[in-house]
Amino acid sequence: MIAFLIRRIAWMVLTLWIVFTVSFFLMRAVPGGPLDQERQLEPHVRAQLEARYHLDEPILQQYARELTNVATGNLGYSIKMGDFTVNEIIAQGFPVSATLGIVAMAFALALGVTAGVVSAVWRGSAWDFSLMTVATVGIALPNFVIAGVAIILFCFLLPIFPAAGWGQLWYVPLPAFCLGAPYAAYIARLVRTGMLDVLSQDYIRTAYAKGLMTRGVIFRHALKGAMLPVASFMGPATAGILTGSLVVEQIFAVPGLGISFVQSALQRDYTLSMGLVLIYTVLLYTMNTLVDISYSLLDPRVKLE
Amino acid sequence: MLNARRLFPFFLLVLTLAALGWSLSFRSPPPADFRFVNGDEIKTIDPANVTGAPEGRIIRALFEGLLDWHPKTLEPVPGVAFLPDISPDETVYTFRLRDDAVWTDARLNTRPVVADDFVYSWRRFLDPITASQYASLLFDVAGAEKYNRLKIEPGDPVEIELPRPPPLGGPRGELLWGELVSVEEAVIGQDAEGNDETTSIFTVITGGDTRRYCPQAQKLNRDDVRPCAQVLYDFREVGIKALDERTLQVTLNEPVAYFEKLLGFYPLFPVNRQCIESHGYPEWTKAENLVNNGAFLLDERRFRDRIRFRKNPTYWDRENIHLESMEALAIASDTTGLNLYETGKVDWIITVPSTTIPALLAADRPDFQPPTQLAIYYYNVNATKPPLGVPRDIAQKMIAEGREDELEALREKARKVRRALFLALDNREIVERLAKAGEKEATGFVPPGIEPYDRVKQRWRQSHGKRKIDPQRQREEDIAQARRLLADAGYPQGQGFPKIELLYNDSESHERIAELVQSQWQDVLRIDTELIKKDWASYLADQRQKNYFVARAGWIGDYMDPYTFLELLTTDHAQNNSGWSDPLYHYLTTQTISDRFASGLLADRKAEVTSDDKQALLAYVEGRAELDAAVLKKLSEAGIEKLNRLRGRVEQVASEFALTEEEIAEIEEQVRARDNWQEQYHDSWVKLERRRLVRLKKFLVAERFMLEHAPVIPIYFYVSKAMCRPYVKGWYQNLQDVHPYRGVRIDWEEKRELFKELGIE
Repeated sequence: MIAFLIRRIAWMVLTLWIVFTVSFFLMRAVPGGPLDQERQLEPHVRAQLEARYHLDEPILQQYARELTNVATGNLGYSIKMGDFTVNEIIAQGFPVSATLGIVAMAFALALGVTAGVVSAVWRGSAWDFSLMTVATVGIALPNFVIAGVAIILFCFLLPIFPAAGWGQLWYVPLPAFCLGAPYAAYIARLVRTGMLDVLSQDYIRTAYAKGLMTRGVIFRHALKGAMLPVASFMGPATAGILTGSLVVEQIFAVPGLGISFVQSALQRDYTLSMGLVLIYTVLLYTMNTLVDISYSLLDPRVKLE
Repeated sequence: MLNARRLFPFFLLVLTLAALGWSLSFRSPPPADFRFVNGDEIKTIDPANVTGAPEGRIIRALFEGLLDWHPKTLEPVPGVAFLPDISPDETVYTFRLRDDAVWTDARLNTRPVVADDFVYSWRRFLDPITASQYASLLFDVAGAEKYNRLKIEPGDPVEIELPRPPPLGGPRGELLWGELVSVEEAVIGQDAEGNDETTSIFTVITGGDTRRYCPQAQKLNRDDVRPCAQVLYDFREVGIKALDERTLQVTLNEPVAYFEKLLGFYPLFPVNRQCIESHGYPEWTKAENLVNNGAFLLDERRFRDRIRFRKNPTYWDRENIHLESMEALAIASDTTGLNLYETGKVDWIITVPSTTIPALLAADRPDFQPPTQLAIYYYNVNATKPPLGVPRDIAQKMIAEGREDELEALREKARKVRRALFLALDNREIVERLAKAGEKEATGFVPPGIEPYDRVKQRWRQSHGKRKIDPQRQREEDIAQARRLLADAGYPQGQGFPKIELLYNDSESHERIAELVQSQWQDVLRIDTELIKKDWASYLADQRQKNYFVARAGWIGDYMDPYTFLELLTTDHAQNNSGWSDPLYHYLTTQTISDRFASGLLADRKAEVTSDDKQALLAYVEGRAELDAAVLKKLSEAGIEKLNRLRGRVEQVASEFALTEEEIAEIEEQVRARDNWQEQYHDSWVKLERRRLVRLKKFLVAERFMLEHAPVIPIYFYVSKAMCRPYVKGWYQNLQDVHPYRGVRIDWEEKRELFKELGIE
């Protein structure tokens, strides 16, 4: 286990370095730079600003400078939003995005697994049919549509939740629901298929034959096996939740990192873009590692290597 | 491992609960008295370094300038200073600062705002290292342009700033003063394209010694050159002076009609020297460090979330500040903003999504009656790209080869093409079909609403017998003329016309307009246009590099004077994306000769044009004086011919901007009718008013002339799509959509009633 983690961390450092290098050169290859704006700069002012952000240096020198800074944990000042350091922006936005993501994921898991189990156990019933119809629709609808409908329903027709904002518990349910809904739907289908598969296996028949109660069989024996596909889905799903949160954060004015992620790229804010790309890399990598660990915890046949 | 396996679901559960607990733990201050949606996150709160309206709304709350604006008319009203005393020739403004204006820090310690604060702030604003994009606002102040744009000539008094210590934005380096002897260029390396990179070496007499200084001395490897941060025009010679603690005197180069109005514009607001120098940038902008002099103090600032203000109890006009707290929300989505407004969570939104405009207009709401703005939506036509213009390198080559006549013919051909595009574009149809908020089709480049200019325009129309023609007929005439011009330019029926591109930044509304224009050009001129959609930064870069044919653009006037629009097309203006340049236009709008034109006249290409030379050339062009031998000697033969041609063109249009007898009599009368009329000033006042009117009439000639050359195609004048609840008193719609907070008040009774009626809490 320890060796596994050490190996993973070493790979992560290498991945981060590659991501950094690719992003660094890609950003500078795209036309336009951080100093381009609607009101154009006088040439001498441009020269001053380029000197301030070291944009006038040869690109390799810039690369070495940035790499040293990043390696020491200093992501620098945002070029476009100069009142903040990138570290500050991440420190303010990350907890918000993380809260939203975790709540959305928990919601997706709770709803998805319940619906999946119910559909599988009562296969072919009205419950199964209606739950799976909802799930199909949930997968098909992009989350900004769900958000629009949710706002009309719960902010205007039935004013229960605030239309946008952050800062209290009351603000969390709507964006978390909109963010988690498509994943809940997907998980429900995965669990249903997994359950149906597992329920027809010999060891389940053995469990029934031993005289175990239905509830015990389903929860103790069947569900664990049915969760394996869900666990492997969690890696990409986390990525989806993180990137999907751009839309939801914007619609509900949630001050997370999602909007910064898009805006910094559009504005060619090199430092902020880089900081966020690296953070997301770390996050994805960590999530994938956790998924691998959870695999071994769920299925005794899987060994960490 | 078995334990871990069993614990795993519980671990997930605990994680979820912890996350929920986390989101619960956010402390939430009570809702502010007044909340508004401020658009995208602001770049900074440093007045010297911002350009956008969202930044303006924040800076207006935190800082106060010499003067402020009236919330309705935007006329200047007293701010830190009382209204100024203006000298009879209107070039010297003397401001008396009030005694009770103070700087306040987060712990409510105060210090008086003094005249020196403005000297410091404006010097910092003009300092090239500050890189303020708005620096040209102060260029009417004597010496300010020289200071900011490093336009120093031998013989000028200069200040040498020795290298700056860190931090960024902290105190300046040590200063030395002296006289500039000469400037030489030295090569320090090559850039990526292999062009020489050069730096300037300044030879200066300072303290009796002659020394050399260079900002990039370390790259030179020369013992006789000392390093410095920069060499600038001596700021003590710039017309910004503190006469005593509470008196500030500003000297202008020449009378500027709108100067008082500029002083209420946020880039000119003062900042606190001690605060900036002790913390450096960006630390000084943090709530705990900030020292400011406005009506509000910075309470909290969260990135892409909100800025919260609390009333400044030490602000001099605190009696007129009725809001205890205020919140500016950084919300980029218009739809989200409208949702918050409609559910009563915010009181003011700066815009609404365009798709909701028809419904809002149909509802005829008192809070949505869009007024016209001082802003225009237009297309830039690249006058340096064939077939719309002649590339600059080709033009230079032709001039060098003496093929000027041929070049003129090429330019005329390109003008006809641009004008054909101009006439073939039907902005009336665009406004009727696509602009939903009641935007007005643009008939010129300067939006209506600038009072004296509108009057001059009106009078010109009357005297030239311009009556409103039936739009249908006008359109038919335009179409016929557009086709004729294109045929004249050598492309009858669009035959042989290359495919041109129409560039716009990625937005649905720009796309719809571009599609319509594409079909209009196809129908009228039978030419193909390719639509090019790019993201914001690439779109800006393409325009800067003049790598486009026709590009969408927008401009918001900074102050109430036609110049804020007309200057965009002057020669080598940073914002002149069309690349079009005409010495007559440049003369009519700026009343000067452009540097490019002047240096094109010289026999020796590398020689410098001094400001005295330019004055002499200007006097000659205006027909006020002949050229003296010294200047004449510098000019080439072709240059003299070129100069005479410009003189002839100015003479040709002179009758159009000369004052009529009627106008002269009117000015006489108006001056005499002034409240503060005094015999001794009468003549200088009359002279001034005449100059002002001539200036406006020149603008009018320039605007018409420019539209004939069509470097831009005006499409429509913007309207404000802001909404503000009627219970917010003291807030008014106005031409620049700028809203001072002084006097803004919430009528709580009315708010309760309205919300009850709407069924929201």
